[in-house]
Amino acid sequence: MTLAPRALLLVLLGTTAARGAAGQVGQLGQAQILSLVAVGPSVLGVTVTSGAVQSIPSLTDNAVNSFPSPVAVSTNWNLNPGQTASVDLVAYFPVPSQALSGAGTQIPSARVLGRMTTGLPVAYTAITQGPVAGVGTAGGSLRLFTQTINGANKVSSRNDNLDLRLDLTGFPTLPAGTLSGTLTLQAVTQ
Amino acid sequence: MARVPGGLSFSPVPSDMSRACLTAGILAILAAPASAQIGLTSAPRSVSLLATRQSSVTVTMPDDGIVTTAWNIDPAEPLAMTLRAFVGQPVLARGRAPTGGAKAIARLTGYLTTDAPAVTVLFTQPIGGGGEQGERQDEVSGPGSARGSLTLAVTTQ
Repeated sequence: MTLAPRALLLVLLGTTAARGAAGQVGQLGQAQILSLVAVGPSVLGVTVTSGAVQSIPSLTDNAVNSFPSPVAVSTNWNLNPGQTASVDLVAYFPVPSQALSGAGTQIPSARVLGRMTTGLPVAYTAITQGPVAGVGTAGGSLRLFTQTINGANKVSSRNDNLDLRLDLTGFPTLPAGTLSGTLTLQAVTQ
Repeated sequence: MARVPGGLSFSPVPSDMSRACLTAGILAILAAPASAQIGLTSAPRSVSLLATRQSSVTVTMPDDGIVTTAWNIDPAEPLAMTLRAFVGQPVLARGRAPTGGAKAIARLTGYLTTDAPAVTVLFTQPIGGGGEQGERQDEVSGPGSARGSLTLAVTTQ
């Protein structure tokens, strides 16, 4: 939210008041007190501080394969607690059926597990949930945390680690080659 | 009643109405952020995921003399693989090896040995065109008997 729409409203109100005064030739209008409220723009940001590229150099068929290092995520906000109840961080794949693809095959998001020990999925959970407040994809999302907003933390941030793994148990033997995919992280207020 | 040059007339705005408009406007201003902060989203951030399934070839030879060769090879890499037999000591034994397609057994193609450590090619399997993953079984045998150790190795090229 920027100040521009509110500034425009103030200008329109001022114009209306001035037109009324001009129409009253020879009359003095009653003095009006106009309260101006300036509210700074809300801020909500997500930064991947490390681990933006996750790599498994040698996959093992029919086994759980963990990505060696976590994704370090920093989430910051500056919100009005009277108008925002919480902040959610969501991880999602744009195309859940093809979370990773390459070498003539695809790995669905159901085979990609995420864990955030400081968040909601404290145990490894398949990325198969639905969107949160419109953020994410059906069957390809995972809510990582819900942060309640109040007066004490209306301007704050938090740091979390996201651990990822591929569960290839029972999955057909992968052809040799490299698969790639993109996991999106996005925060949303509610 | 006020008049403007065009001849149109309008009533002056009563102060009560003016106050009501101002109040409504201010309420509208104050209400604006409430709807804006619900569903406020951050910029999306991307995490790239890469996972590599390495090429692999396995060769097993149980006592029945049937060599099973299984492969899973990145088609972007080699074009063929070759199974070779090594004999580490002088021995004279005629070897049988396939020259046809998978599971085909051909007549002997050569000797497994000379008086020096010997190598013979048992088959060359093309890779690609859908043959990146596969398995074949080949018989390695010969008349008579010989002592010594036989090493089988697959190489790709």
